[in-house]
Amino acid sequence: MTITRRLALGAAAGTLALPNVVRAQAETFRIGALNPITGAGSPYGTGMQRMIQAAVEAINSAGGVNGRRIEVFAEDTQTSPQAAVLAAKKLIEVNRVRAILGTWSSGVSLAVIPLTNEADILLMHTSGAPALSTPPANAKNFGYRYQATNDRFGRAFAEIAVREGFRRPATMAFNNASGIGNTDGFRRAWAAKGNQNGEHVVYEPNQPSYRAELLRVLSTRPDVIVMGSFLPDTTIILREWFQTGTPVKWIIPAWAANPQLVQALGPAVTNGIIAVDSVSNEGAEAFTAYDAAYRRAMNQPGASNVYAAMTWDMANTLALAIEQSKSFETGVINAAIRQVANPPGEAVSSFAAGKAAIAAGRKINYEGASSVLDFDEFGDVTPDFGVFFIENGQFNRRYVVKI
Amino acid sequence: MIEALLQALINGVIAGTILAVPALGFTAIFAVLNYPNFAIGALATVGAYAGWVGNTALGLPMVAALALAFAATAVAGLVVQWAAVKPLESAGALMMAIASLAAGLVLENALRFGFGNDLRGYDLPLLRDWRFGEFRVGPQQVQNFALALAAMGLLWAFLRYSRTGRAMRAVADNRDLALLRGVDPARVAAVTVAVGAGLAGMGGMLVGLDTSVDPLVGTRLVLSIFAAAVLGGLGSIPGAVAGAIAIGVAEEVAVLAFNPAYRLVVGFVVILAVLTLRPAGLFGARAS
Repeated sequence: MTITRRLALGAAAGTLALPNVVRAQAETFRIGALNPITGAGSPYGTGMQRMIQAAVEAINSAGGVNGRRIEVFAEDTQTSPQAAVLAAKKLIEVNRVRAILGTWSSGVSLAVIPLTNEADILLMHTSGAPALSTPPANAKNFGYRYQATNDRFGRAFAEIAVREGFRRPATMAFNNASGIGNTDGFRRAWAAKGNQNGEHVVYEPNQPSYRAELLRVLSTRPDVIVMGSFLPDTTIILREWFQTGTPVKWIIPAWAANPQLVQALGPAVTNGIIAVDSVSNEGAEAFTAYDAAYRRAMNQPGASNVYAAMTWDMANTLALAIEQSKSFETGVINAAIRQVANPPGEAVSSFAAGKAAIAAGRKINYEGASSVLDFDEFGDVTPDFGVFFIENGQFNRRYVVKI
Repeated sequence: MIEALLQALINGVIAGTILAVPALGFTAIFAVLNYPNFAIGALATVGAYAGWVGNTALGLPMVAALALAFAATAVAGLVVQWAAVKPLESAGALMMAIASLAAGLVLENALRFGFGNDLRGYDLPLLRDWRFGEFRVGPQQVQNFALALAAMGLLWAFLRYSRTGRAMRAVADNRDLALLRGVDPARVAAVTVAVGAGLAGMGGMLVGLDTSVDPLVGTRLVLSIFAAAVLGGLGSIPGAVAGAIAIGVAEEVAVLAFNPAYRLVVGFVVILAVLTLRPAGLFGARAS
């Protein structure tokens, strides 16, 4: 048979018409990096995405999972549930990803998890709402939380309130699962220590002013106000509080009390605020590797972005679970996640070390960069909490709370 | 308890006076053009951003920034009217209302695209409240209160003494008669939209001064503005002022009595009650 120009053209067109899978050199395992590149989560999102990519690079250069390379498709949630749903649909239906990693903020994760459940794929997220642990959100147990729940944040707040010697705490919560989760966790833990709970106000989001709510809380003369809040409302409340001139201390989750808050209000208003965040597993070997990768990608220390350490761990635990399960099926991989992350087993801190141990037939326990990463029956972890005091606009970490 | 009530009254009157500025704009547009312009929230946001740009980027003092907010929003209001509402004029008030709602969404998201979702603060010192015994009031609140009163005074003088203002009132009172007297309806409509939108922009900036500016600053006001205008009687200028102050006070006092999570209910309850018991509102004559 002679090869004519027409035949060659036809063959080329035919190749193009074949599905992607056949055309590719070898099939890949596809995952989605769905992070808050813009919007309220933007201080963290780019670092989160870069660390998924960096971890996958390391995994691929260690030979990939079950002989396949991992391929990352990245999208932006805009920190908005609507945008996140569109992006998740695109990742699932167009890119055909087998897991979604790195959603931030409870509203976003609660909006995306029905889609990942429907598509029978895993969702690894960094959101705090307690509702993400249980059905209906986590009906298939395909959801994994690398951040502390809001309830655990609340328990940490109570530890801090005791340590700082506060006697009359009041609470203010943004009316959603995350805000109320924080203050409920605090009030339960505070009462369990034999203390009396003070005034509790749940406020509606999106108000031009919170003066009435604030005055209601301040009229009970609390010595500290514990918040379950977000950046926009916290900004307005603190501004109005400062104007009243009433002396009171604040304990606020760090996603609301962050450098943007200081920038909006100035150091005078924010002085003395206690900002609480989960802290990475600093000192662990995995953290050292993550820190180096973060410095290369972002030119900043890894400790500046706890969520990026979480996404680094997501890629590694997922890859190890695939390796352990010898499968690409979600159900089988899912069953292997606790096997590779929880004790007992040989402590490993990288994919390469874990892969070698699995190949040698040993049971492993991945100790992560974000926490020791032991998942309970709900797919939740218990990190430690850093207690930061805002002083002259700087966030100074005074101590770490373990619960 | 009495102190708390009086404090809520003070805060409510100040909040209501500021709310009256965009409510006047809303009711003026309704009086002359006969449709509720729901782009009013987004227009207030335009004003808040225009004032913010004037204050922080151009270094304008407050009154000049407020004038800039008025001018920029007047232009934006005319664009909304000309591009979205006017083509649907023949389809009736409901279609015009829906068109304005859609235009408002477009405006809000255009601002989000341009300025992002971050909170912006005016370049103002954060001042402590003045205290009078048990009561407190913020210098910024007082300044905003005064600016709102001044804006309303200017509007009153404009409607009372200027030829255009009288033409606007004439069209609102009796359109056909005004046309017979040679009033140009297109010109009156344009001026009304510009003034109404401009007032909304000033209101948005005044609220932004006291809180902060973000793409939702005006949208948060829409329900209260609408409730104020309905309570006062849609299309009634004094009604809008009285309605706004009543809504401002009711929202503040409600927090003393009920869980603050139900604060937003106040606006809805007022609308429901007025439409059920006295559809013309407190000062309205149109529905009777």
